[in-house]
Amino acid sequence: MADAIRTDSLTKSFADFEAVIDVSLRVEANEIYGFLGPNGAGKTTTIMMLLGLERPTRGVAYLLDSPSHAREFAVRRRLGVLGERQVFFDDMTAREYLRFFGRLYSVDRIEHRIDALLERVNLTHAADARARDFSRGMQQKLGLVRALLHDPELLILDEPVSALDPRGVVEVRELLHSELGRGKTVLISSHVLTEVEQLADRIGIMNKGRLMVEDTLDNIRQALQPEARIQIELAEPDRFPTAALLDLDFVSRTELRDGRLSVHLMGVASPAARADVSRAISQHGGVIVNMHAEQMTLEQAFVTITDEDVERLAA
Amino acid sequence: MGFDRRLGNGRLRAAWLVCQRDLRGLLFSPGTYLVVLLAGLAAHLFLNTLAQSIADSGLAVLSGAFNLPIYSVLFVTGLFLALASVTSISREREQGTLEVLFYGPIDVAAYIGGKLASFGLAYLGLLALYLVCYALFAGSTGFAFAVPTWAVIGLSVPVVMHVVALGTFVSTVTRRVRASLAWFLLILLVLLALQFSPDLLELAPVGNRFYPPLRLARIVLERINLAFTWVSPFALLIKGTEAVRRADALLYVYTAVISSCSVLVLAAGSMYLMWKGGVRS
Repeated sequence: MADAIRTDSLTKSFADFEAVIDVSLRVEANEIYGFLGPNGAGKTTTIMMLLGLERPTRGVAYLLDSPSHAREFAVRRRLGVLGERQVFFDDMTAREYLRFFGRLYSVDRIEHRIDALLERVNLTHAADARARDFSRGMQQKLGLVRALLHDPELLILDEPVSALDPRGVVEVRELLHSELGRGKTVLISSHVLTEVEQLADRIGIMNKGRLMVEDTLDNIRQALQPEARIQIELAEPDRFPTAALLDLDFVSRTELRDGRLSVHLMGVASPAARADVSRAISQHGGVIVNMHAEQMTLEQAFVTITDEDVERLAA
Repeated sequence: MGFDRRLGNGRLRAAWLVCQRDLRGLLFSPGTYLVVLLAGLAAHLFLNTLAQSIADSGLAVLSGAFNLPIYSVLFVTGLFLALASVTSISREREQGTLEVLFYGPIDVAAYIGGKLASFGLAYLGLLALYLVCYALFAGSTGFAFAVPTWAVIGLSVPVVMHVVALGTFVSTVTRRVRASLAWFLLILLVLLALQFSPDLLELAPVGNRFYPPLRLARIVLERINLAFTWVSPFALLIKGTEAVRRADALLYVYTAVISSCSVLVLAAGSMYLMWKGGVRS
């Protein structure tokens, strides 16, 4: 599949430090890519180089096969960007602001599109109020509406839910899901890891200017924690032959303690692995009361990669 | 909007949208109304003095009744637009709106072009407003516009755009509003000093005029001033008004052309520097 985003040895140096070092990342078309890293890792600088707003010291960045240093208007029109900070033009209402960008992007039936998107994020009531007076959450939603207004092919979202209350997060998540269902490619940079965990197909983690890892979350988990565990509560645990589960080739060992069965897996506790375990228990007459997988969360993976065992992953 | 569609989907469309947005900003700016008020007061002062003089003595000897009022109005308006241009880009950069704009289909040529066009159209709009007021006044008093007045009004357009382009250039180079204003005022002071310092040295007592250091300073300043004749809007304005006074069509056209070329050079410089320096704060 073609790459929607590609960078080759992207490097950005400022006077006495390198903000981004040799970053080569790939985002395939129609995938959701979680772009993570602690503050100062170089994410925003990388995004700015992707957009052509920062000139790389070395390397090239391509968006939709267009290099950042010579990007035509036609390609820019296919991008939707939500920046880290939401800013609005003096004295413009939300509708005027969106109308301005709608015309800039040559959106057909602008008013209809504005109304539809404002309704999706529950901002219809504020359409004719001055955007600068909005709360931070409302401004963030308005920024997202601006980014989606022209139905872009590629979305780059920097912290799309950081200022939102739980209800706002749900609204934005639903809006993003409906847009993503229409075949868009998305790069999300966020500190809200649970959100990224739910949305992203693949993840790239940056630290100290370098791209430490780029893979699916399952592969990252497996690399960091080769063994996962499923905790199972059985109706009659003492009568269940726990050794029977060892017939499954991905089960390394089982333990029965305090009426709870722990099944250790080689690899991740994927839905397929959980289904196989569940089926095997039923086949041997076991009745499952409760079952949950204990595996590395994205947050744990993030902390491990950025703080501790980076070499393990590289190896 | 039909007009937008005719402009196509490229640079011209983006420039026109930036121009419209900035014109709207000027329309909502209290500064615009303040400048119209100041211009009106200045015109009132001159015309009232003139009317008073006619009422008192029944006679006023002037080459053009509207010269001073018009010049003062043009000066105030030009200065306002210059200051607005100085702060416009650095303010957008400081606020972050410049970055948001450049996420989309726009480039430095469209942005700078649109900005300059907005100031040009704002000046023409205000000029039209003043002229309507003067025409009404002329109709009710019998005063007439002299040809030289029209000539200066015509020349004011490239000269004001020259100052606005200089302001835009300074605003592109600097990253903060305060720095933009400080640099612009410094440049204006230097240009004014170069313009008038040789004449000021002339005021020295006759006995001191040939004092070697003073003479040397005068020669140096005159040489620098000569070089700056090509870039200083003040020098060009003085040259232009001199051309009007002497009815020298060639000098008049020369002044207008040099001013227009300066606008183009400064605009190209602003575009290059913005492209080189980026749009982030």
